[in-house]
Amino acid sequence: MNHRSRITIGFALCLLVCLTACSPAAAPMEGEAPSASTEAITLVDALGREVTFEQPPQRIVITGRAHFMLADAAYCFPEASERVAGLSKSKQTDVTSFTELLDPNYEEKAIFDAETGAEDIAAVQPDAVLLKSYLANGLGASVEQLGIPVVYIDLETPEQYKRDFAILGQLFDDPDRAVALWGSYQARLDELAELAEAVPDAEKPRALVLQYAESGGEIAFKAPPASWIQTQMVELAGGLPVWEESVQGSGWVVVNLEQIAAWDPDHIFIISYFSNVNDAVDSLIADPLWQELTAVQTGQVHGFPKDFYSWDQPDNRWILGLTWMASQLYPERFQVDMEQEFYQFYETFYGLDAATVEAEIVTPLLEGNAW
Amino acid sequence: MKTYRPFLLLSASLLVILALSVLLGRYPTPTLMSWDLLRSDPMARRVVLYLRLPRILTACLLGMALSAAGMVMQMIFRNPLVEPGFLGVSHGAAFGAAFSIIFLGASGIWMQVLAAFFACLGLGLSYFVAKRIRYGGWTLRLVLAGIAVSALFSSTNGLLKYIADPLSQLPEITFWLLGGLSGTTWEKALLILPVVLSALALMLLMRWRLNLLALDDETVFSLGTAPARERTVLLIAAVIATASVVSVAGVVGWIGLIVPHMARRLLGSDAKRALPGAVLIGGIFAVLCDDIGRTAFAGEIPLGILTSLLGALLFLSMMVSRDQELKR
Amino acid sequence: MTLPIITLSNIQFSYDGRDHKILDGLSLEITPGSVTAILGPNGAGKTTLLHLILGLLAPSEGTVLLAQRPRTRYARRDLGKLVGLVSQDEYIPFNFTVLEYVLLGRAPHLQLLQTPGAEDTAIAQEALAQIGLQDLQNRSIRSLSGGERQLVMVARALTQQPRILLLDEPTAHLDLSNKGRVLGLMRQLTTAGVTVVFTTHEPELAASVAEFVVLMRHGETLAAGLAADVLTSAALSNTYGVAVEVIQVNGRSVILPPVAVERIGS
Repeated sequence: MNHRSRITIGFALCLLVCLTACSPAAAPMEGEAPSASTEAITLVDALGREVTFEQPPQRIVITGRAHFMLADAAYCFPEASERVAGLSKSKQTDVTSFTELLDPNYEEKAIFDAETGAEDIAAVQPDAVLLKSYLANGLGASVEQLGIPVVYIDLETPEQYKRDFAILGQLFDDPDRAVALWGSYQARLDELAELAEAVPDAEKPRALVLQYAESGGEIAFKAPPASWIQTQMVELAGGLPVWEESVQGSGWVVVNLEQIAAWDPDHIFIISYFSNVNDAVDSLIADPLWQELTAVQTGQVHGFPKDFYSWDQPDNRWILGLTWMASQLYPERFQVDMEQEFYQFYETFYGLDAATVEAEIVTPLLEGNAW
Repeated sequence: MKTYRPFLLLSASLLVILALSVLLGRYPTPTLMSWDLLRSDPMARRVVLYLRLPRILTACLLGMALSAAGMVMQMIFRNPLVEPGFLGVSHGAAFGAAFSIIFLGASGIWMQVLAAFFACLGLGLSYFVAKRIRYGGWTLRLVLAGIAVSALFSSTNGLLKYIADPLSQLPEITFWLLGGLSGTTWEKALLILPVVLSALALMLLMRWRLNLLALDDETVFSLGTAPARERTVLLIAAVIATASVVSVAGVVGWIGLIVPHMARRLLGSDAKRALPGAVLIGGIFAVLCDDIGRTAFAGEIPLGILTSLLGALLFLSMMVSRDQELKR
Repeated sequence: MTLPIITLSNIQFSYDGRDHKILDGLSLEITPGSVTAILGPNGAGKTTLLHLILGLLAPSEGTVLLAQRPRTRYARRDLGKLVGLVSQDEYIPFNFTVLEYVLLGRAPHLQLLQTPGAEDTAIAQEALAQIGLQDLQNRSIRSLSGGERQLVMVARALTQQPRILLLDEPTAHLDLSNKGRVLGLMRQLTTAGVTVVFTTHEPELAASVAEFVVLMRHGETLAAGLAADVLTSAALSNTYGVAVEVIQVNGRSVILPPVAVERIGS
């Protein structure tokens, strides 16, 4: 083959390739075309996308990272046990999962891995998938390619809870329930806002939230980033988060004892996701290195309560966490019967009676000095 | 003709593997899908058309691009132990993409452009630093410089992750830095297709020159060639191909190192045969790894992990087995 | 009088930024179709001289003319067709076969995207036959001995078919028979019109094959001209700084190496 024909072929190839680039990408169908049915639902999800359902979805799959927050919020709606078709395993509890307790039809559901792929989801024939919004470019994109509608929600901050409960209300076609649920949150937030306003900043208690993480015999203390709910909780409860300005980062940041001593906060809240939080707190109080801290000396080291999930996370137990924290920071001004709040929470949100709660949650699972 | 037989075999293998990969997956169960299902189930069709096809295509392009880039770099830097990951190219591309996610908020074209830019920068830096090191042979200097520059970029990536918005940008960066094809759509596949094919075409057209450019500067010069100019053109093609696939699939290592070795073992050191061979073998290798990663377990194994595992195993076995003289 | 094919006028050369001049005011003319030996001790600047002729290095001052045209006026590829170089040794990082390596010599005759065809392969095989290495064509180049590799490098240069062939210490690793082969080859090339210039530090080599000899020392030419005129005891002693004797045996110049200063043990 001579040189000239080589160049020609080379050019032709490049041209062909460039033309391929100009062809439009296959546009996948976006669910069924909405008909003018009276039952049709159109909602706007957390990413501002309009998602339309001809009728309320009957086979919802909840999966992906942090799915348990989504599931716990979804199951506040009584329709959930009928309409949720797929759930995922949680890493934080290795005992029976919370949804298993709530859902009489649990055995019939498909249980996914947290890192599941779109094909496994498709195998369950869902008509809606509920995901955290940061999965939009990954798992969400793949699921959408299959024509399965995806609804994204966040549930990371109180504002988002308000919005996302409304979205869930539309998804389950039960908007009144959503309003009622948010009402409970709003009432408590208003109460605490009044409290916080009444106290000048100089008198507000200084608080530190730390995650106690043990791995391979080594113990590390980590502080949460400023934008996370743990930090916001301290502010909402009327405290001053001592670490807020100095800890930069996008995830849990390791802090050492020197820094803790430098801050010397009035209250220290200890979170432990994977070990017993009471044991963690006891070991710290007994630790000679911690003896000098004000919080230890005044008995203000608190273990963050947890049952199925620790109450500090943006799971919907955060309202319990917030209430409890406020009661620790302002024992005089904010008097509340935590035990009653606790039972009330499970009754209102999940319809669980006291006996069930005591048997299934308090006895086997509850840690931390909740009340 | 006898000399074409290995290529026919490799091409046939690639086609067979591509065809099988289309039917392989986890829907509806983790096995080969049957033809009947494909015809009767619209969801099966959608899975194949919108999930598997773009992903397999991207995996194939990725394998081809990284293998070709690896071979080009090995020959131009006269060092069989380099690959884009070692010379700051992959990590530079990763940095470019992460940078575009945080500061430009954009994806798509901008990410590709920035990835390509920082990939070139990474390579340039490695080369520049290598020239400055005072001790050791050229091989050692280049590898050291490449490791240093790659480390520089990957720690900068760590910093970027640190300052990224944890609710929106960070998960995107993390998902992407781990390396994997799980979010591949036709949009992404068609975005990189023209770039990778053009770069591959250029490298393949100039493959005989690669032999030449692997010789001493004096010799290259005496044979009427401007070594710096031709090397630069080929390197740019290699870097652009790498940056393009890194921008959609994250950092995937070892392919660029091991596949050129395999190709040379199979077809001889002449780049006229070894480069097309590497391209075919690279496609096969990447598609196979991705098939395993997305089918074997419910939770997907990132592609980078599989290529490292299989690549390292192959590398070890090749190093340990006795060097045979080339018989033809 | 035929015009010289290579002309160097008043060449000054030093490496970047250094004061030490490798070549200082060097001038030279090479007759076409001849064998010229550039003779001098180690460090005289012989290799640098070849690189300047080739164009790999540029002089700080002075001009290089190839076939009466300034070297800078030649396009890169045309230079490749004009001048070929066989270096002292070469690091070949990949395991090409001998034939694949020798084929690389066809580069100046091929376009950028062209690969060698049947004709090019034939030329390469012929070059190997000329050197006597046709049996080695499928051997891997890394399995060759130093001497065989040097011969292969010469074969590559032959494949290039240049008009001027530069060789840098071409017989360094060769045994007597192979040395003879290369020297014979040099003579053969000149009958085909190729100009051969080679550097060596061994006067015997110059004496056996060169028509013209240039004596170099410390970057300047001490003498240049017909071999018989230049290869004298006085000139060589001056060049090498030791007493060298030239005698005639059977009509050929024989250079006696300097006598050892002291015998050990006596």
